[in-house]
Amino acid sequence: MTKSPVFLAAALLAAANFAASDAAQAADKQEKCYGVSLAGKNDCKAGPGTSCQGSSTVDYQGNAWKLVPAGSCEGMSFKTKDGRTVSGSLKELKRDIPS
Amino acid sequence: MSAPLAARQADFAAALRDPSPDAVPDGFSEAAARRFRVYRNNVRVALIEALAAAYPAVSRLVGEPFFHRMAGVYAAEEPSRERTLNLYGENFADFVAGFAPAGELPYLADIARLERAVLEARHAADAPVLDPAAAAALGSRLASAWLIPHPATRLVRSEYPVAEIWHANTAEAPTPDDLVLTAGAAGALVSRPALSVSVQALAPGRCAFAETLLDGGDPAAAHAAAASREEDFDVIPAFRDLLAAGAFAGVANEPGEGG
Repeated sequence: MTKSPVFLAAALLAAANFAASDAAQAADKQEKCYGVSLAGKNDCKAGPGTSCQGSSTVDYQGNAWKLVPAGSCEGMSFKTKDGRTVSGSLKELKRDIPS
Repeated sequence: MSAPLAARQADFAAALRDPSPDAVPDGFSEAAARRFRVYRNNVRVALIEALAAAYPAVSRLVGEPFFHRMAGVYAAEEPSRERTLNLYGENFADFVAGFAPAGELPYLADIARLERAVLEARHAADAPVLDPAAAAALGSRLASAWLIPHPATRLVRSEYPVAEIWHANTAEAPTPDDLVLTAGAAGALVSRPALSVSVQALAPGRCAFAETLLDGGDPAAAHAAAASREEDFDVIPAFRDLLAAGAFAGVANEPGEGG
């Protein structure tokens, strides 16, 4: 079995390399997208002064994010109830902030 | 009504925690007492709902009415000590362990421990996850490296298959028809790779391996601990899964060196 130190070092390296190639395949499957979630449907964000899961109160709230497939965020656009067209952003937005 | 503020606050807080309907703060008129009872009920319900949100599997295992009674007893004993209820219920699992009416479910307290770990993982600070390539880059020094635990990583030891029970009792993962509870479980690893919390079952060898690493032991020590628990412990899939789970935030050659 993996008793010798040399064998163990090789096994650990193999494991790290396996994990690295798994990670490369799975990389960037999702991204945080601001301004696209319906009220109460945002994902969580941790930290001071930020929103958390399900806490957005208006549709397409600009400072609330949702995880979306990577590369799809900025292409999303929606018609708001008052007729504006808004799109997603990888950065926090100033629009549609609850007063 | 001219008692000092601190005394009046203490009196108010005591009445708030007293479940008997007659308990109202000194000097309250009948109208004020009526409104106070409404407020006390709201406080109690908010605490119970915070627990129900944090412990959905426990609630599902015992049923909602039982859970509400149990949570109500806890809420009367343990007022919130924080400004928010996000992390309310710190010692709820210990309370469940000693809650006699739940004695028929000996694994219930461990499920509560696991759900607490999930809650803490969800609220833990953001930190990058150790890139497995960075671990691989250490080469032969990896066996004696120090892997810095990710702030969201938690290990829950249990003699019951808590990860399987949890998975079967959370809405996110519907119960498979062919659920098999494996004997000889040792614990569950909770981690937060890519922003969502993951829970995986750990066999005794893997549990010892993860525990040693999270306690600051190097991979060589962790392997020795795992091999002593499980004769045919295979380090490759164990270490690969730990790295993939995002259990670590970084790597250093010695404890305290930083990542």
